Amino acid sequence: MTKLIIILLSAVFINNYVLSRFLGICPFLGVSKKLNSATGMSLAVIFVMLIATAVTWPIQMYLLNPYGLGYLQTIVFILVIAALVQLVEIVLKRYVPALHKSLGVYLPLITTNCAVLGVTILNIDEGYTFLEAMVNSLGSGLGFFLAMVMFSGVRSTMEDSDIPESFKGLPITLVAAAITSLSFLGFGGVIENLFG
Amino acid sequence: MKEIFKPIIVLASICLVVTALLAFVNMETRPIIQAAEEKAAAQARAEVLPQAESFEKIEGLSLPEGVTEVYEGSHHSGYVIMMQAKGYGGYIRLICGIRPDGSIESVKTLSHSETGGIGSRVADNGSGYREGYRNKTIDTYQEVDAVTGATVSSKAYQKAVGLALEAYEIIRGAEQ
Amino acid sequence: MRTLRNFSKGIIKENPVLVLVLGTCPTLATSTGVLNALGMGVAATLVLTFSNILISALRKVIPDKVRIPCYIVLIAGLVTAVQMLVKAFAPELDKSLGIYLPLIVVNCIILGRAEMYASKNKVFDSAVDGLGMGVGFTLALFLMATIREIFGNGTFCGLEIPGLKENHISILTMAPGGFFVFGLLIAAVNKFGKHKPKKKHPGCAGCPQAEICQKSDTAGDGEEAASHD
Repeated sequence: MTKLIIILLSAVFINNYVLSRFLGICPFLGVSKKLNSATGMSLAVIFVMLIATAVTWPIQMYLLNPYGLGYLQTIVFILVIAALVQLVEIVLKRYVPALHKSLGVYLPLITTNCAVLGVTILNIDEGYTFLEAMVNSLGSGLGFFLAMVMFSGVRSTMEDSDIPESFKGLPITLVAAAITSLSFLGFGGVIENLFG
Repeated sequence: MKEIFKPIIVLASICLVVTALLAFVNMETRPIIQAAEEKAAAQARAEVLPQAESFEKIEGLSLPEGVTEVYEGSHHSGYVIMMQAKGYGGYIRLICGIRPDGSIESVKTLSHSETGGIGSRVADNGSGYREGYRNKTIDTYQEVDAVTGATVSSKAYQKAVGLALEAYEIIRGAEQ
Repeated sequence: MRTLRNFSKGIIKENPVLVLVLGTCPTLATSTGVLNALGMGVAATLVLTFSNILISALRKVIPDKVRIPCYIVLIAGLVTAVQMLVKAFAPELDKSLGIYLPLIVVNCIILGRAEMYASKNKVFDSAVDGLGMGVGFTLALFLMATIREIFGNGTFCGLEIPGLKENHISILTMAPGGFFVFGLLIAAVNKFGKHKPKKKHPGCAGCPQAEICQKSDTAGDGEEAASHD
């Protein structure tokens, strides 16, 4: 149980996907202007990360590894994620139209989101059990959510600021991201010591 | 009909061809990868316990969590233990040679993801931190001081070394 | 002459990292050391050049409906092949690039060039385009890694620089330093480059998903407006 809590908290705070592993930077910079879109995008990411792990982990363990096909990992995972995203979109549209309305626009973006492919590969690399892998995916998704929401707050206060001409747009956003990421450095090592 | 089947056929054949080519590349590179990994592992073992001529893997013991592999050196020259502990950025993986009297011959980092310039002053093999553990035993290994500013990495390193020494005690206990 | 221009546009005018702002994830993650950055750059260039060649050669065979899955399969295949070669012949590099090596698959520069260039142009032109973009990517990574390694670690390619080694600014090699140096570099490009900084999402111009991305960023506005009613 302690191990699961450590995995969860590490994924959210220490190894935060966006701010310390640099995965999923495109949506982090592109879709974080408004709190609404940041929340929608992150919820879609959490959702897809969980489903993708639930499908790719058994594929790796029960299909690829026993037949010595581990080298097909990258190609199989990306295809499975692409197919899953399509499937989720169709199912949501048909059965849960309300949810589709709020998450639908973000789903196509997720196929080539490196955070999702990253979490499925890392789950295998770290040698997690199925439960641990799911917890890690949940933590990674929550960490993404936290970073997006925090950052959309930071960005909204920048809207009215007087920014030097050459820093307008992306550069100031990156500098703000640097400071946001700085605040996450403080978590390093804390969680291990809490339980260790 | 053609409109429906053509995309399916093209996509399926691309998948097949790509997979076949990958299988070929895999067949060609796998022996090289395995040889390189085996060579690197053998080199690391020889480095931390130079007095052993060959090594034999020990299996079937219940060892502390974090200890991954254990080898016995030929002619009672000692043991080589591989272990890991969580540092600041991820796992620090170490390999440790222990003499038959229970003192450490040498410790070496296999891989780590500690911060460059901070935790790396502990985990990098060139940093000199590992020298402090030479000749230490299970009673004295905690005397090695942490590197200033890199307490988390130092603690993780020390914890891993402790695991190896514990594992050594278990192996000795099993032998008697 | 035309070929030369086609090659060099990827290096300066349309530099994928500093001007088009694509592939930010690997840029930030692997630019902590010069050797890592070069390894990443060369691996991505290989994949990019060959994916452009293959996709251009198959552009008349691949039906429009399934083109993105087809591109993804081809790119993933190439990445896996490169990954195995790196593991076999440069195991140290494989260790230091780690997860970022398989993640070349989702590097938007590669899918972006496939969609914007290779699917519309001849094989030779596409190869040159891919090579140029790859070199541009590598140079940008190299530039960023040089700054981060020299000032952040006091070394260059692992060799110590006297004077800086004792006074290095560690934060530059950590995550915040990555964002910060990248921000400064892009600001410098805006300042000294001929292009005026674009107002809206400067990075999205070359991204295959720009349309969906922008639609989803403004999607929030509509709901917000609705909730005020």
